[in-house]
Amino acid sequence: MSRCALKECQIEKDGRCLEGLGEACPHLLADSGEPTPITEPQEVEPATESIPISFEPLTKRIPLELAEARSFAQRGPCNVVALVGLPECGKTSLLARLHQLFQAGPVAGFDFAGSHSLPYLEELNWLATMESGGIGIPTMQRSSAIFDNSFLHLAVRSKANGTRMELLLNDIIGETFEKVSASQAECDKLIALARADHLVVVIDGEALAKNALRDYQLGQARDFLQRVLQSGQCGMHTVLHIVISKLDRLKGHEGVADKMEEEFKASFRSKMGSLHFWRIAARPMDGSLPTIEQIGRLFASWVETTDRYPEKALPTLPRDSWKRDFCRFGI
Amino acid sequence: METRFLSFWHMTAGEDEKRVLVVGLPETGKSSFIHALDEVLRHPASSSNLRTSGLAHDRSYLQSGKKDFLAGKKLGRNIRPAEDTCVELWFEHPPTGRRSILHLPDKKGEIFRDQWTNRQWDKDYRESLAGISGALIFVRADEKSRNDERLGVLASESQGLGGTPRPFEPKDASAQVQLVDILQFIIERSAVPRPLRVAVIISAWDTVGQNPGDLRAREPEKFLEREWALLAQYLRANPHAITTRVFGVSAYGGTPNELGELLEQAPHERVRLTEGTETNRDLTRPLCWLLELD
Repeated sequence: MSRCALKECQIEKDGRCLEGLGEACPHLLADSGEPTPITEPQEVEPATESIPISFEPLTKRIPLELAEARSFAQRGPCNVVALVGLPECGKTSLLARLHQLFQAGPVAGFDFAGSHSLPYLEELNWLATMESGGIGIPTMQRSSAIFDNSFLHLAVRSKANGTRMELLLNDIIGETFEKVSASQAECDKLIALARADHLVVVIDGEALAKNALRDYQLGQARDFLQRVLQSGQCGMHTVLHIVISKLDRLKGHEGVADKMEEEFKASFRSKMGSLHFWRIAARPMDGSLPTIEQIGRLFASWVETTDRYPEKALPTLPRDSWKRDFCRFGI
Repeated sequence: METRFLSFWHMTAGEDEKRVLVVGLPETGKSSFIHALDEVLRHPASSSNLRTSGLAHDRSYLQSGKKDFLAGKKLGRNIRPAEDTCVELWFEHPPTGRRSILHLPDKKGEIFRDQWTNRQWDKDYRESLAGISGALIFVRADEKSRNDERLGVLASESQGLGGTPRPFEPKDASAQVQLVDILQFIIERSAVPRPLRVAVIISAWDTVGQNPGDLRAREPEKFLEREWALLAQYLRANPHAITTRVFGVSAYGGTPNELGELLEQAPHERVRLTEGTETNRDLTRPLCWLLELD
């Protein structure tokens, strides 16, 4: 089993490299002699075959490490989406809703084309299912900063033009969100964030509706954005989405959300590639249905847009000034 | 709890060697299909249909469940072999004169269960996928493809109930999610031909449209699109890797153990295969398409 020289690294316990480098990590210590587990070895039953079987590892149940994610990014067009927010802000419900939507049909004109995070997404959605016997709110017990630089994978294909897109979803845990506001060093650890085409800041609508929670919720979001702009991890190459979740809990306080949006627009619009506001209810508990259309549009924007590669406007010179065809471009 | 089960068909045809992979979760109608196929090959509906060309040397796998199948009884799980078993079906294709042998080396389920549960697979199995001509994927019409969730009023009513949730176990995952996961490894991690011909077999097709309140689509392709949406999307969204046809199959002609008057018909007369809007008893259609015999 692999062990690491870094105290913080949990690779011995869960197989995750803190640096995201996997077997190539220079901090890895020499093998102790035990066979390397494929994944979560406690669930691997010993083979009872009399003939020796040589197993090969497949994609793990946990999110992809940087090196694995890179291989998916190299398949073709790939957008990276970073999701952040305070604990229990509704990020997990949003991811679970997308997983459920694809199980029911195409989402916003996109077919599901594959995912190497299906076991994780199923687990994430488990508590929302009747089979679990739970109360219906999706959660993921395995919350750890180790996964802050890891990704969920999803591939989609446009029904309109057949274009395939790989999406890598970087789900940063709520505790890290708070730490980043407090510390530049914590912010610097978010190396995956710098590759994000989309930064999705989820703000808890229920907290917005409560005087005692509102200011902390908004303050943390502001500070996080300020921090990642300062560090250069996000900026004009990033599409910023401010998502107010739990819309069902915001009823009667929509004015607070309006004001917040105006304030964020004034503060961050000129510093990011583009800025979008969304109000969603991924798992409303007031008897209403999820805001599927809004969530679908949000998802489509992740697939269809990026500010990472802005189209440069070509110079347009008057035709009578051309000497050759290339002259129209000012060449 | 039951383990994942896949089986692997191996077909040789004169100088040609062709193999067909069979994929399906437990009790999705694979064994019933094999028995029904055996009966249809022995009693072809027309002179041009695939037919048996003789008795295979080893029919012990088929023999073990034959009595129950012919009596219209549900096949017991005990017919599944404990160790690797080889089953053969010999047949010929009258229009081309081609003769073939269908082999069924039935590997232990643990090897395949590892794909979803333990995230690993047998190297030999992976290598054996290299030469397949196509795949049969089994799903059931009378089983749900995904775990239900509480929405709307149901969700609001569940608040405060205080139920203790069961911890997640991989085997609890939605059936279509597990199938897609298995398929994408086969497509992406092995050397299967591209595009791979995939015939989706929706078993227990007789349960569709049994009563007027059944709003499910009566055409297999549309049924898959609505009821097994994730699988349907995945198959459609990878045209460079997969080409698909969808069939509805009733291997018994009705619900086993409850066939009633249907038992007056011979098993090969009871079977039904639906493709598009057309229904007949030629259960060999999926194989013909996979092997490009049509």
